[in-house]
Amino acid sequence: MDTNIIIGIILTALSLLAVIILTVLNRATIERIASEGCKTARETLKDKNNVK
Amino acid sequence: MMGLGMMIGAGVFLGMGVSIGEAGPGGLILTFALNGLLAMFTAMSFAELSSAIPRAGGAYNFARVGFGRGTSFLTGWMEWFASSVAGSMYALTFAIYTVRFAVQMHWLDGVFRMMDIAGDPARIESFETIVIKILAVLTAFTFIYINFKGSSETGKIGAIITMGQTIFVVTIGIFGIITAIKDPSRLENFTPFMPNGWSKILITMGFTYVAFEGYEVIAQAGDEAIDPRRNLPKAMIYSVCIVTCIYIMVAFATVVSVKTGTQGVEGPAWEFVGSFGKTGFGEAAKRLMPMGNLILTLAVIFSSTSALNATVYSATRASYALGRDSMLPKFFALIHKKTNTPHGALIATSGIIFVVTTMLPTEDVASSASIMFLFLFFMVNLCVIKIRRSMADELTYGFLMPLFPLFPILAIICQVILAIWLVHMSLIAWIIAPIWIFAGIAIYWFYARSRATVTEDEILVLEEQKHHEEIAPGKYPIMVAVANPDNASQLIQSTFRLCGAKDAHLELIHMVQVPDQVSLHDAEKYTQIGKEGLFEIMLSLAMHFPVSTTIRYCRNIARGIVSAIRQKKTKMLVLGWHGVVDKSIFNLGSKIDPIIEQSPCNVVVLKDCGGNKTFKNALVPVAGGPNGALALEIASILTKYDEGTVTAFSVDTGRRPFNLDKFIADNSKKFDIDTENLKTKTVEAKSAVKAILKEAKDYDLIVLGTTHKPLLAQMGRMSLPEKIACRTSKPLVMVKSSIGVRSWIRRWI
Repeated sequence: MDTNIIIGIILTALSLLAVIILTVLNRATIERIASEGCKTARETLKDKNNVK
Repeated sequence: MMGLGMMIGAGVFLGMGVSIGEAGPGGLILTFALNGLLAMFTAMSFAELSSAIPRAGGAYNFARVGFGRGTSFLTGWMEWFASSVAGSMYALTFAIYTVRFAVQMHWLDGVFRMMDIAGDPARIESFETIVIKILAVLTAFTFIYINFKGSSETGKIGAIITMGQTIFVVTIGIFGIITAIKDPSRLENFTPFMPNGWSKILITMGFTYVAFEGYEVIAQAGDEAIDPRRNLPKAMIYSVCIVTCIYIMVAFATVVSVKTGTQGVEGPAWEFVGSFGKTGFGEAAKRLMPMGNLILTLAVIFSSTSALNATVYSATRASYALGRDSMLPKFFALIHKKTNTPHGALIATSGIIFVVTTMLPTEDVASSASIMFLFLFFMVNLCVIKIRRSMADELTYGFLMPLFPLFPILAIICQVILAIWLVHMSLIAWIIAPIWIFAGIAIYWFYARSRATVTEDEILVLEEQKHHEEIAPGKYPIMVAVANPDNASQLIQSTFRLCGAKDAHLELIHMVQVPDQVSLHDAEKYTQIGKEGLFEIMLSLAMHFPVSTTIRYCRNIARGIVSAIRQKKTKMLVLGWHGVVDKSIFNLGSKIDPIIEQSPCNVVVLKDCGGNKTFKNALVPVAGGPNGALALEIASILTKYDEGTVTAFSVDTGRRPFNLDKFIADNSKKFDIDTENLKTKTVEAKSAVKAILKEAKDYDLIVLGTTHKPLLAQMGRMSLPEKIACRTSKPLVMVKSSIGVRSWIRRWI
C-alpha cells in the first residue's frame, strides 16, 4: 500500500480520535464544574490539585 | 442549533469540489479532519471565554475584557466583516446551486431562447452569473428582513432549517458509505492519495476553514442562552465534534461518488469532480444516489440559508456592540421600537453583504471570509491566554480547558500558517483583509479612541502627578506600590537603598480597589488612605530621587499594578507583604501571587524590612536560575549600607548536583553581585526547607528568589521559597527576575 495512504489514514484517524476524546473530556470538565458550582480559575485549579 | 446551522453551510459545499481539485482525494479527507481538530482547539478557547464572560458580543467582548479598547475595536471590526463576508458567501452558494439545478432541469431553456442566447455557452455563462448575483442579493435581503423581524422568528426558522440540512447532508454521507460497501472497487479512487503533494492541504485547509466557524455565532448569543456558563461551552464543543464527523463522511462520499470509466469519467475520479470547481460536490451527489441533484439542492437551500441567517445575526451583533460602546457612530446602536432589533447595524451589514456579493468572484469571497476568521480566531486564542493569566481571580468559569495554554498556542501557530498559505488561493483576499484591518486601525485612531465608553473591567487613572519633568535618560524606572501609611513606612528604607544603587526614577503608585457593588465614579471616596501613604514615602524620598505619583482605580489591584508596569515600562516593582498567608486558594496572598506570576519586570517583595533596621548579615538560599542571582544582587544592595555580608547558601539534598561557586562566577557581572562581601556555604540535608530555616536563625535578613513555575503549574502547590516565606519570622525579601523570553511575552500578553 502507498505510504501516503497509510500516513493519511493514520492522521485522519488520530484527528478524529482527538476531536472525540477532547469532546468527552471537555464535557466531563463542564459537568464537574457545574456540579461543584462555578468558581474562579484559581479556585477550580487549586481544588483539582488538592484532589490529586 | 444555530452554531451547527452555520457550520454545515456553504463552506462545505463550495469547499468539497475546490479542495478535491487542489489536494486530491486524500487531501480532501485530511483537510476536513485536520481542520476539525484545529477548530476544536479554537472552540475550546471560545468555550472557556464564553463560560467566563457570557455576554452578547462574542470575540469583541473577550478582547475588550482581555486587552482593552484598541484591540477590542479591531476584533469587533474584523468580526463584523468576517461574518458579513461569510453571509455573502452563503447567499452566493445558495444562488449557484439553485441556478445549477434550474439549468439541469431545463427550467431556464425558455428564458435562454427568449434572450436569443441558446446554443452560445459563453453568453449563457454570463447570463447565469448575473442571475446568480441577483438571486444571491435577493436571498441575502430576505434574511436581513427576517433578522429585522426579531430573534424569536429567527430562532424558530433557524432550528427547522438546521434539522433539515443536517438530515440531508448525513444522507449524502451514508449513501457514500453504502456505495463503497456495495462496490469496493471505488476505494481505488483514493489512489493516488495526494496527487499534488502534501503542501496543498495547507491551501485547502485555509480555504475551507470558514466551514467550521459556527461556534463564533454561539458566543454572540451569550446572554440569551439558558445557564450560559454550562450550555454555551457544551454547544460549541458538540457542534465542532458533530460537524467534523459529518464532513469526513461527506468528503468520503465525494471521493467514492464517481467511478472511473463510467459515462463522462475518463481520467481519475478526483480530477473529474475537481474539474467542476465550486459545483463539484453537486456533480458528485448527482452521481452518488437517485435524485441526488434534488436532494443536494434541498441540502444547499437549507444549509446556505441557515448559515446566512446566523451570519447576518452575528455581523449585526458585532457592529451593534461597537456602536453601543460609542466606537462607531450612534447609528449602529439604534434599536427599532417595534421589533427591538438593531436596525442601524443591520442596514450597515446589508451594505457590506451587497457590495461583496455583487463585486467579488465566489472563490475570493470564500477566501476573504476564511482569512478574516483566521485573524479573528487568532485574536480569540490570544485573549484566552491573556484573560486566564490576568483575571484568574476575578472571573467565574464554567469551563477550563485542559493542558492550558497548549491548545491556544497550537491554534495560533496553525492559524498563522493557514492565513499565509491562503495567498496561493486568492491574492484578492490578501489585499482586502489588510485594507479592512488598516481602515479599522485608522477609524479607531481618529474616531473611536476618544469616544469609547468606559467599561467596568477597565483600569483608569484618577490622579497623576509628575514631580520631575521627564525620566532622565539612563534612569532606572522603579515602581513602588503603596497601600497605606503603615505599608509605606515599611518600604522606605529598602526602597531608598535600591533607588540609590540603581540610580532610579521612582514611580509611586496607589491602586484603589473599588468593590463590585460600588460605581467606579465613586472611587475617589477610597483614595484618602492611599494619598496619606504616598505622602509618607514622598517626604522621605522626593529630595533624593526624581519621583512621580499615580492613583488609579480598578476592580482588581494585582491586575491594575501589572497593567501600570506595562504602561510605564517599569524595570523593577517594589511592594510590601504583611506576612499573613491566605491559604484558601493563594500561596502568599491574593495580591502577591498574581503580581509575582504576571509582572513583566523584576519584582521585590519586602516583609518586615522597615523601621531603620540594620542588615549586617543576609542569607540567600540559592539553587540556580536568574531569580537566585537577582536575590544575591538585591542582598548585596541592602547590606552594603550597613557594611554587612551576604551568605550564598545551598543545600545538597543528593537529588540535583549544584556548583555554588560556579553559579556565582557565572552571574556576578551580569547581576552586579558584590563578591567582596560574599561568603558561600553548602550543607547536606534531606529537607531543604528545614535546613534553610535552621540556618536562618543566625541571620538578620533572608533574601529568596522565587521559583519559576511552568505555566501549567502556576496555580499548584506551594514552592520551596513560599514555604520558607510563610514559616520564618525574620525580615524577608522575595525577588523574581524578569530575564528570559517568558518575561518578554508577559510584557505583551
